[in-house]
Amino acid sequence: MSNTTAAATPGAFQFPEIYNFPPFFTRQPNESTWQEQRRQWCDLILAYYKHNRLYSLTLAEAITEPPFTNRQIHRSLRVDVLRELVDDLVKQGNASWTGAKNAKDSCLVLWRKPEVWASMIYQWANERGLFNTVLTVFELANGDDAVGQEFHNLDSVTLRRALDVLQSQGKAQLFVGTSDEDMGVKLFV
Amino acid sequence: MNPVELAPTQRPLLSSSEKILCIQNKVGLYQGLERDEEHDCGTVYLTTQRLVYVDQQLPHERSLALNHQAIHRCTLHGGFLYTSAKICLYLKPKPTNGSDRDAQPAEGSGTSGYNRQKGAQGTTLLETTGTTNMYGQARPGSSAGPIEWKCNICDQINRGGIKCTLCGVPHQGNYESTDTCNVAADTRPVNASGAERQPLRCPVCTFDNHESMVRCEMCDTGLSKPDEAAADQTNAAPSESTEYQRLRTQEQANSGRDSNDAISLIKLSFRAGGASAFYATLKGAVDNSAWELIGIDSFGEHTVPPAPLQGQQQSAAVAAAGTSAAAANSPLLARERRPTTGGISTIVNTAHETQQARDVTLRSAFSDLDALTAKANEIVSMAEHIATQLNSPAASKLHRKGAAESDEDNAERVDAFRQYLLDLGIDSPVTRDTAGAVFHDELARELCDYLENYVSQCGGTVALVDAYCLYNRAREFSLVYPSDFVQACEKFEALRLPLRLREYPSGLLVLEDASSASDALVISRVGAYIASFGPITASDLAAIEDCALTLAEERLWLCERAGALCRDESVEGVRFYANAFAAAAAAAVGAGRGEGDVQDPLWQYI
Repeated sequence: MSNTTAAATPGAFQFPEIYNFPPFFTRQPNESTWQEQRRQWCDLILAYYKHNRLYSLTLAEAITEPPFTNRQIHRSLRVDVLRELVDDLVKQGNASWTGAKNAKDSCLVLWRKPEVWASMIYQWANERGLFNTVLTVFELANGDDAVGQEFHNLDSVTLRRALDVLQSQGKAQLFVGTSDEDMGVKLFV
Repeated sequence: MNPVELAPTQRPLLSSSEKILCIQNKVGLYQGLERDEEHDCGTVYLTTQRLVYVDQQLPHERSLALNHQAIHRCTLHGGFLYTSAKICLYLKPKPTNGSDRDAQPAEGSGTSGYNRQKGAQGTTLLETTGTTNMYGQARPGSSAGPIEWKCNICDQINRGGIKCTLCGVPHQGNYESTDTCNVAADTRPVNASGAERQPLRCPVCTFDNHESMVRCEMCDTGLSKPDEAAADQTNAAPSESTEYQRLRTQEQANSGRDSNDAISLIKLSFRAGGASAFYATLKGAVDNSAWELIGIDSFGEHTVPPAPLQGQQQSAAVAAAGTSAAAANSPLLARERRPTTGGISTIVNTAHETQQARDVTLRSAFSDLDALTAKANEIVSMAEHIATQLNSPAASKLHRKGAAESDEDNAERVDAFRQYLLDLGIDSPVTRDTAGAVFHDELARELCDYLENYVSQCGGTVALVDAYCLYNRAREFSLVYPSDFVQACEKFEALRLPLRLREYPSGLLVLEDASSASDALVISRVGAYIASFGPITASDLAAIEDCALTLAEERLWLCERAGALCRDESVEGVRFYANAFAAAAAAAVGAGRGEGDVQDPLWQYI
């Protein structure tokens, strides 16, 4: 599937075959089987979130919804198993826990890593010649200029992460505005 | 003593009416007054008819048996300091002399130099070297005495035996084939073979060795012996002990010509104790067999009941079933009548009498418990007779599935009876009284004997609980504790028996046939079931394989651990599928999995 389309692809998400296999929803005791199962789950989560442009995941709520529930075969994933999966994603760098420390109730699904977002934003800024101008963060993501870009309407937390990456790379500088919502950013060459 | 046949579990094979009375391990045999090196350590089983020695190292080659009827009397000598307790068995002299003179000395394996009598009874008596006096001079009437040898260490001249009597150093490697021995040999009269002693010339250094040497004294090359009369030259193994053995076998050959009224002697040395209990039981058994001896001789037939019968011996010897006087008399009369009448009437009469005897037995047997235990033997034989009738083709037709309604009922009854007969399996169970210290070992062997068939019938694996119940039911009165049972099962491996105790990770204990049970078989079988029936649960598998539910669960878990199955847990229970993950993993590896779709290839931007 092409990576340059900007809008979220409409249409239903195509679940893989394994999604209809009941044992997929049971944590397998056999280690090697579990490895494979975990891998397939992580792929599924990231693909689903990407397709639907969802960014955050609250465990308790997500359990009752697809992709963690398959109504056709009446199976659902258990919370502790999901927690294990998210831990895996965190290790992979594709998620991070939010909320209370060690509570592990909600997380951010980074189906695209912040670094990648950062490069995209930088590239776009380069094209538009927006270096050395101060923008609000809101304007950056949701402004007219951003229409058609992948990061249009990007979730604010993710956006913030991406900008932090740029800042650490020395390519941007964040300013605190009147409130947390109202941050400004200046991009350099 | 005869060589004896052993079951694969190294217990002696008993005849149908033989029961084991006592078992003792770490017993050594003495032939006469000397230790018998080949039968030095083993287990002795005392049965109602025989004394069986099972060697520990080479059980199938070196085991011997001795009938009680050959024992004249027995005495017990208690142990003192370093000598262990001994039971001396004085054997009856042989009935005939002539056959012995012609008897060849024993062949190679196992029974070194024991003479064999080709008599009707098949019993063999040991003879000792106690027919010569201390200095090796032969007694009148017998030819050459035991070999004299001079101990290397203390220069003591010993008469036969393994150890030097003064310093106790064993004989092997000690043997001096120097002139002293040659001198001693020369002073003796002509040896048994009748030939003059010829020195053996070494082919390498031409030194004249003593004729009984194996290796040359000077240059240590092997010597080949000239052909001698003694047939047991064939067991000359290239070791120093052969020399000794050859001497001994010559002794045996010599002592075979002994006078008739020498009473032979065997001693049992109890190195681990238990002598007094064994002795008491032995005395009882020998006394009982004395009664049987009378029974045998008068009618030439084997009798069953061990209890002595006053004044009824002859009739009891004849009666197949009842021991009451009334039943005994009529068969006796019938047999007397038999030689004169023949044909169908006799057969009919015999059948009639058997039937009557059986009726009497049944009536008296079930009157009370004591009578039942006394009659247990006869009841068992009756049951076995019925079993053989049931096993005939006519009965097996009933058992086939899909038969008519009435046939099915019969089949069930047949099945139940068969099951009951399985329970009557054990005649002489092993108890602490009989076995003492070796209780667990003996129990393990008995278990193996009994359960081996059952385990292989059940497909190679039986839950321990099931085996325990079955075994205890067969033992009837003297049950075993579960802890004893488990301990005995743990010894299977050590005793190299065909069954194994196995513990699964979930804690289930099973008995497995060591040779036939295999994990790979189970996995392939279960895979086949899933392929044909779809995903299965444990109860499905138990129904298909006709095994216990716990066992079915274990098998499924086994397959899961091996990666052949994956599970699906839901409110309906646990169901097992063929492992699609493994297939997917293999496919992914095969296709060369690249970067995931989720991440943009970064190299485009950086």
